[in-house]
This record gives sequence, structure tokens and C-alpha cells, in this order.
Amino acid sequence: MTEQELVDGCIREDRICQRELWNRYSRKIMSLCLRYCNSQEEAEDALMEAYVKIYNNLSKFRFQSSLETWMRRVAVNLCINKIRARKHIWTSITEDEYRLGYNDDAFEHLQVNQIMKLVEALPVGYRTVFNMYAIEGYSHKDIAEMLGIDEGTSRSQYAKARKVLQQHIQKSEGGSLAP
Amino acid sequence: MENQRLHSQLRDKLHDLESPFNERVSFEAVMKKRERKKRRVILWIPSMVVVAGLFVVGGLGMLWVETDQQPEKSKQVSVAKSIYKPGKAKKSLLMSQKMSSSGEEKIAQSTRQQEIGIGRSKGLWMIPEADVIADNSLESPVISSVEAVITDESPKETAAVSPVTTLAAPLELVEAPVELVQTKDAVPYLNQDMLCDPQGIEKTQLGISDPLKDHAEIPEGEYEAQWDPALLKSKWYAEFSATTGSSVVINFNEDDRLSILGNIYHANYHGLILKDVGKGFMVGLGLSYGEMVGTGEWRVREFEERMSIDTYDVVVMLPPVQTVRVYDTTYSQVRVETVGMLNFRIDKYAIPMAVRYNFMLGKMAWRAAAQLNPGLTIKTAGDFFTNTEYTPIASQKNLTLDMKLAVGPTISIFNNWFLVLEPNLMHHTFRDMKSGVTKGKTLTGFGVSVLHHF
Repeated sequence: MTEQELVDGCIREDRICQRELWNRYSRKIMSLCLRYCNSQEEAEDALMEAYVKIYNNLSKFRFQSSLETWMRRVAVNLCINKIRARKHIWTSITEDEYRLGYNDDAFEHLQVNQIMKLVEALPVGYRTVFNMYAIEGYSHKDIAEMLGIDEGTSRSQYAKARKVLQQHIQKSEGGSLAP
Repeated sequence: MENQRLHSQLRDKLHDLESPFNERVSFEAVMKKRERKKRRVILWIPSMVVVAGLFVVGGLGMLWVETDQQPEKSKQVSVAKSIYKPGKAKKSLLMSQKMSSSGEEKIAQSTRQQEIGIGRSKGLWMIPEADVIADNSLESPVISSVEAVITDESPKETAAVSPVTTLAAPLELVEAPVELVQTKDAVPYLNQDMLCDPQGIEKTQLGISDPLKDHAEIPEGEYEAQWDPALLKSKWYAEFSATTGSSVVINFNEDDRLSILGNIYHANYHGLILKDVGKGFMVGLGLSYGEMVGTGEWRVREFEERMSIDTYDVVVMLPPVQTVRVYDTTYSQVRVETVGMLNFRIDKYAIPMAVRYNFMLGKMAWRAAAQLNPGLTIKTAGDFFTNTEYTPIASQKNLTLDMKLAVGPTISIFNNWFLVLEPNLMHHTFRDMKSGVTKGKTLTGFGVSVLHHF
């Protein structure tokens, strides 16, 4: 079943197409939700809510990107709204802290599950910005707009996230990956 | 570049990652959730329609009421103009002259006459026919009779005046006295609500008000002042208040022989009946019960002169060797402190006389309070103290006079119930009837009053 058929079927409220959409993408969306949410339960709730939104708004999908990208975007927006509703306090860091060095090769040696665990262990602010910037590919400007924060705050949250990740990697690998 | 590499690494690794989820999360669960949300929306739609319908009906109702009232208002304005602007008489005469010559006026006149006729036939009001005629007859030969008609309440006399014929009579401009009332606007007069005075203040009997009667113009704002709903409200209030306060008694002067370290506190409860006397002021009278309690420690510092004698033996080595005892006397002053406990208690009843001033500060209502409590002690015990002295309270029945000053915000809690938070300053005095000594102390504290508007 092509994406077009899938979308058309879902708009027609065709149960088979709707189930197919669920089967095809739900686990991927779950992994996305897990990266943004604090717990498995919260991620599962976000997944279900995201799918409700997706089913309700599929008629607005214009095929300007892949269906998966659009679905991911819906899910990210939903997770961000949840984070914003929690009224998280975003902090900035100094320029010196921002310029600290990193060893990005560290990720190369890690398994996907390890990276996921590391990302999930990040504080919510760092994790959100890191997910959006490093994984989803949003710019800091977009992130700032979406989260209602300064662009500088977004940058600093990202820098802190990387620093914390690096520290976790150093700890988990006995410091062998230290810069 | 490093960033890009890191990001692509992460994306490669995480993008296609699939995570499992709990059994409770399933396609069916999602669809159920979706149905529930849809149902919620469906339930909302009718209620929104009902609310919108109510708004529309309310709006239309308001519109209908407004349009129904509008003509009434305009009539009143026209009447007022006709009565109070006699200077325009001349101008209107000229206008009426023009109209009468054009013939249109005749039609208008006859129409008005018909209207009047109907009114009379129903017996609702008495309007002389000459009223209508007078519109164009100010300068006509029958002008005097017209005047008489208008001022005279008797319909019989008005009937004597020839109606339409005078209209055709040649018109001569006469400098009519300005007291003459133009009756041109008398017709709108007829359509007014006859139970209301045109000026809207006095109730009048059936019939039009006498235009020549000396109507006073209402100064701006007076009408509102007379009919201010606040006037109908009661001016009486009841107040219940609990006030507490304390003061530390301490003497830092080391030179004083007696110093006292203590604490005095009071609790005062009162009920008042207050009357609003206008301009934000209230005065009141009531009953209060108060307790003043003090506990402390007195300390007396005294200096004693003490003599100390040191003795030592001196051995004289000259033969014959002997020992001589030497006495060395020293005088010194030693400070001796004596301490003891102090306490007193005064219970009293008083008749508080209160003045309150209510005012607004920003968006908050505030109240300043001054109060004088003349009263009588019902029980006294112990020694009243200040920071340098204490005296026993000899008499049980003593006169008291307390003064209280307080300022605080007023908060409305229920309909006609208010809460006043009052940081206050209260000075307590009493006159010991046996010793004739008046003692007092000022305490600072906090009070809460509940005010009820009858």
C-alpha cells in the first residue's frame, strides 16, 4: 500500500488503512516519544494522543514531505506542548561554558540503545533541545519559537546537553573517551 | 562540520529505531480515545448552539427594548426645548408665517386636531383646541385669547376660541412677550407618558404639565444624585473586631538601679454599630472587652562597698629574730544584682466611640479607624510595670481610657459582609483609684474586623 493510498484510506475512515498506519509507524513514533518524555507511560500516552491527532488531521497532509516526517512532526509538536505545559524553567549558560570542547566520536562506539538511554537520562530541557536540534534537525531559531525561549537559551541547552552526554559516556566507558 | 557529523551519526542510529510499548497501547485503544474525543466535541456543539441562541435572543431583546424607548426620549427633549428657549419665539414666528402661507400648515393643523380629538374622546387628557391654533397665532389678533387658553386649565373657555378661522387671518408680526409659550411643540407634548413629568423628576397628575409654571432647570448631576441607588441603601453597619498587640519592655541603661525586662500584650474584642455619615466617614458606638497582661523580670543593681583585709607575716632577721604580722586593708565597690518576677493582669469593659474613614487607594478599599474606649476595669492583679518602675495595682475597679488608631484594607467577603485587616496602635491607660496614679502603655498589633452592612 502506497502512502497516498494509506492516507486516502485513513481519510475515508477505512479501518484497514488506519490499522496499517498504526502498524507501520507506531513503534518509530514511540521511540521518538520516549526521547522527549520522562517515562515509558508518558511516552505511551503521547503516542496515543499523537495518533489521534494524526488520524484527525490527515486531510491536512499535503504530501510536501514524506508521511513519516509529517507524523514525526505532529508527535514532536505534541511532546513539546506537553513539556511547555509543565512550565519547565530554561536556563542559559555563559559563553565560556558554551565553548567547552567535545569529543563527538564518542557516539560512534555506542550502540543505539546506549545512546537512547543516555538521551533519556538527560534533564528535560537539555533532552528536548538536543532531540530537536541534533536528531530532528530543527534550527535553534525554530526551537526557540516552538519552545517559547531565546535562541541563546536553545544554544546553551544544547551545549549543556552535549557536555552532560559526554560526561555520561566517560563514566560508562571508564574515561577512555575523554578529550 | 563536527556538529554535522555528530548529528548524522545520531540520526542514522536513532531515526529508524523502533521502541516497543505496553499492551494497553494498541490501535483499538487509540480509536477508542479518538471516539471519546469526537463524542466530547459532539456534546459541545449543541450546548454552544444553545448559548449562541441565548445571546442572539438577548441581543434582539435589547434592540427591541431600545427601539421601543427611543421615541419617548426624543419627545422629552423637544418639549424641554420648547419650554425653555423662549428667545426663539420670533424665529419660529417667521417660520410659522411661511408655513401658514404655503398651505401645508393647514393640513398639518387638521391632522393635529384629529389627534387631539381622539385624545379627548378617550378622555385621557384635556387639550384645548386653541393649543393647535396658537401655533400660528402668536401674532394674530386673537393672541391674547390664545395665551389665555394655554394658561387656563378649563376646557370650556378654550372652546370659545375659534379654531381654524384664525389661521386664515392675515398675520402681523407682533413683538410678542417672550413669556408666551410656543405651542408649536405642544403636539409632541401630547404623546408623552402622562404619568411622568417632562423633566423626569416629579410625578404629575393626568394632563400636561403647565408650561408657564415655574419649572426649575435641574442642575447637571442633581437628578442622578437624587435617584442614586446608593441612597436607598441602609446607612447602618455592624462591626465585630478582635485586636491584639504587644510591646516589649526593656531598659538598656546600665546606670538605672531598677530595670525591667518584660512583655505586655493585649487582646481586645468589640462590637459596634456604625452609621455612615457621608463622605466616607462612619461614626459608631458599642461595647468592648479587653485584657492586658504583662509578664517580666525586674532587676535591681546595687553597689556595696566592701572591705578586705590581707595579712602577711614579715620576718625581721635582726636579732632577736621575730615575726611581725602586717594588716593590709582594701576597700572596693561590688555590684550586686537582685532579680525577681513580675506580672499583672487587667480585665476591662469599655464603651468604644469610633470614627471610621473609608477611602480608595489605587484599586483597593482602605479604612482608617480611630477609637476611644472609656471604660472600667473589672479585675486587676499584680504589679503594673514600665521599663524603670513597677507599682502594685491597688484597686480592682479603676477607670480606663484606651485609644486605638488603625489603617488597613477592606475586603468584600460576601454580599454586605466585609473583612478589614487592621495593623493598629493602641494606647491603654488606667487610673488606679486608690493610689490616684495613672499608668499607660502603647502597644502595636494587628486586628481583624468583620463589617456587616444592614
